[in-house]
Amino acid sequence: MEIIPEKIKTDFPIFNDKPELVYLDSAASSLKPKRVIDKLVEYYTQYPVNIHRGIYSLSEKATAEYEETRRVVARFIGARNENEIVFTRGTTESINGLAYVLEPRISSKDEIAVSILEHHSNLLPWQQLAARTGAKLTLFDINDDGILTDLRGRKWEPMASTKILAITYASNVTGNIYPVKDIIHRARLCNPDIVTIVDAAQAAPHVSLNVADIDCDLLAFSAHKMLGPTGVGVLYGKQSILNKLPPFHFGGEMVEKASLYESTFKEAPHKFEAGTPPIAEVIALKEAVEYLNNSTLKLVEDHQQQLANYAVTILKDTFGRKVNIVSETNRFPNAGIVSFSLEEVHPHDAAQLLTDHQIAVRAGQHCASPLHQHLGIGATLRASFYIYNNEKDVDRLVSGLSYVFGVMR
Amino acid sequence: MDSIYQEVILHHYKYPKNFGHIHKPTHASHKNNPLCGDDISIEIGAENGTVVRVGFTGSGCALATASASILMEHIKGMRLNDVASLTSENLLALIGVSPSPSRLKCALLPLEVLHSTLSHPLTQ
Repeated sequence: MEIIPEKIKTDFPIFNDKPELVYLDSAASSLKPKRVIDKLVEYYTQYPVNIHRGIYSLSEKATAEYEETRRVVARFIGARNENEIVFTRGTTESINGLAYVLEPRISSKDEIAVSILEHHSNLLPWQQLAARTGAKLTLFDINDDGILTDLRGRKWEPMASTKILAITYASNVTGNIYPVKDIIHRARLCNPDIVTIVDAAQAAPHVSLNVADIDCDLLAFSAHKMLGPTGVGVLYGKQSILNKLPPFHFGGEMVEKASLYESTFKEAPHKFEAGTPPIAEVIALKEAVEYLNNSTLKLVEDHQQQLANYAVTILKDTFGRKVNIVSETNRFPNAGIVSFSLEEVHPHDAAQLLTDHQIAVRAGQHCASPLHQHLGIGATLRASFYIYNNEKDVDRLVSGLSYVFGVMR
Repeated sequence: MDSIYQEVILHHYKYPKNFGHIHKPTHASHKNNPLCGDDISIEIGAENGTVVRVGFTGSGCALATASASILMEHIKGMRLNDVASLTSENLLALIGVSPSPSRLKCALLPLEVLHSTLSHPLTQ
């Protein structure tokens, strides 16, 4: 079996509308297959009602679809059971919510450790938590051997006072997929009580996740980067920790018994899902997961790696020193992301000129400014691939870049 | 070709006018857009309320650079009061292109710096 992008493209209605589109910004958000779009329409046309409330059949149908998604997602990421799956509005909300409910555990004597590789959503919430509590925010790096270091490259280890370790599974700038299982294992040898949080927003579309094997305490990802709808994310937590954490929102759905002056709340995961959730989006996420399961993620990993390798090789061969490639594709597995800058052409100009050729790439710092500063680079161009991309798309990027150099020369 | 990459923009980008520092600046300021790396500094030398010398430095995309170059040419000889009342619409009319919403901030960065320059007189 293999990934056949030409066949996969036919599952994505955008390519009917824009057959010439070369979409190389899947790390920002993936395109959506018809199956996912149809499911959204199915909900809104056949059972467009609230869940967990009505005892009429439409509500029971919506509730069943919603809860079935929880089971499908739990199997997809290797959770022990569906009660470890919380639906949120996305990775950003998941991590912000955690930063609030972990606050009572943090004092001014503690340390919060975050990698330098994070995008803003797994950095700013921890900056804010450190500011609120007076805790020390420590930034660490990951060296080529997957060992944690300080920002000067010296070995770094969590201490007893390191209460939280937040780390990305895959960088949205370099595309590196990090050995988070080993990193978490070694962190626990230093501090068995450390709370480990994995940002899998960039990994979930590409890596066959197995949370039980990684053994992280908490992990977050978003549906929209993995063929699903916008506005829904998944927060995984070990049952033991979800049971101990308080809810981060209060209101309907999450309450068990409400009275005027005090209330009690449901068990996890429902205590974390206050208010009417994004029902259609959750239900359609199931279709995205099943679509990916059918493609088998192992093949997706290989496909992404091959495209990244091909892109790096052909960019170097064609443009030589006129292209400076930030991503390395040899040290870690690559999540289909190649970031680069052009000699004497600003990324914004390049990205805008590429749109003349129906090529969509990202220009900027990809919501990871601190990493760019650490690497000593300005804004970059990023080409990110997914299952519907093929080598022809990379070739189109190369001819597009030749056009850019021609205009800007 | 994309409409904003017209000859005039590319020309000002490749051969910016008034690029560099000036003799005896009376006003100076600097701003950047950290997300895209555009970074523009402007110096003005005014005498009796009139702009007589202008210069800009920094680096940016073609749009930001060309916009700065065109703006510098425009304000030479203008009264400081009139410079202060220049609007975004004025600048867009000067550069003669209509950037998409995502590129507007590139085109308008030089005007932001210029307005900030006016409120930062240098003590001689």
